Amino acid sequence: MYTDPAVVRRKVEREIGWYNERIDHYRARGIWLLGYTFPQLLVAFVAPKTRPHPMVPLGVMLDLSNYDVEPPSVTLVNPFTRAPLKFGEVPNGLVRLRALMPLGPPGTAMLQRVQYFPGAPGKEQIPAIPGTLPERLVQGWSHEDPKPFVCLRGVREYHDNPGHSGDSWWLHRSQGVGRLLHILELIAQYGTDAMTEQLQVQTEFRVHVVSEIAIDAP
Amino acid sequence: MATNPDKDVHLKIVVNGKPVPLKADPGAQLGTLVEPALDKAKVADRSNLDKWIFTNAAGTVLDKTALIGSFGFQHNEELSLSMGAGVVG
Repeated sequence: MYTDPAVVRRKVEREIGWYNERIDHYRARGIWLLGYTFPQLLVAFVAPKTRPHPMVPLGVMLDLSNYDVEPPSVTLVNPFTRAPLKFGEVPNGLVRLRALMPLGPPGTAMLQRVQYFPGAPGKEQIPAIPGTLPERLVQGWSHEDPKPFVCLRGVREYHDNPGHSGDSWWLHRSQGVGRLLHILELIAQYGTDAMTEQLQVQTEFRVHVVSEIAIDAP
Repeated sequence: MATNPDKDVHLKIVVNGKPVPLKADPGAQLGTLVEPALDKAKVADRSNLDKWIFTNAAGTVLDKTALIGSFGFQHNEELSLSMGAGVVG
């Protein structure tokens, strides 16, 4: 760390204070701060809308070294073990649908053609609603990529990526896009908020398998 | 912003996670609260004011051109003010 740790710590703990001030909101959103050992923060994301039970499908480890001379580093992890997730292990890739601008003159319904992701591993086509472009906020090279990253301004891995060298952190730092709670809200919005009954089938299947193992035990 | 103290609406605006209290004139457009909220939250960059969006507790994006009084906000109701997600890929 090349910045004064006392200054960084003060900035981080000020934002943790904002979290604690509205902890009921974050608890309801499923953004659960599990641990803080400066300069790292472990956060679990609970999917509150899954039925019949809420689930804890992912977590993030934030590394706040040099914050906010550098933006937070965000690593997607298993919230139980803290083990980093490979790209193929990230539950839903944090997909968002971006509305496309109409191409035709005002009043016409001429929409842009929807562009799909190429069919590379881990980047299969995502069904789209007409007039929208599906985008994954989590990017990786393959299912086995050990370091998928959250492709958002304000995330260190985004700004460190050679493909984003023209979009420096310093162009966005003063807008607050690297604030911890801003990033966590976006991960919840496109990740766990979107998980509803669709996850139920997987849940029931896994519970069934575990039950069989338990019966086999002496 | 000229306000009538008797009719002011008291809101809590959460700017990138930081809650700031704000008094608002119910006859003004919601969008007029963007700059005062950014002032209070000490957000310096004003280059993309149109990209800041208000959402309510349910996550619904609020129309910035609508009058504040038209929303029927409760006393000290929380609204979030944040930049839209800027993904590139």
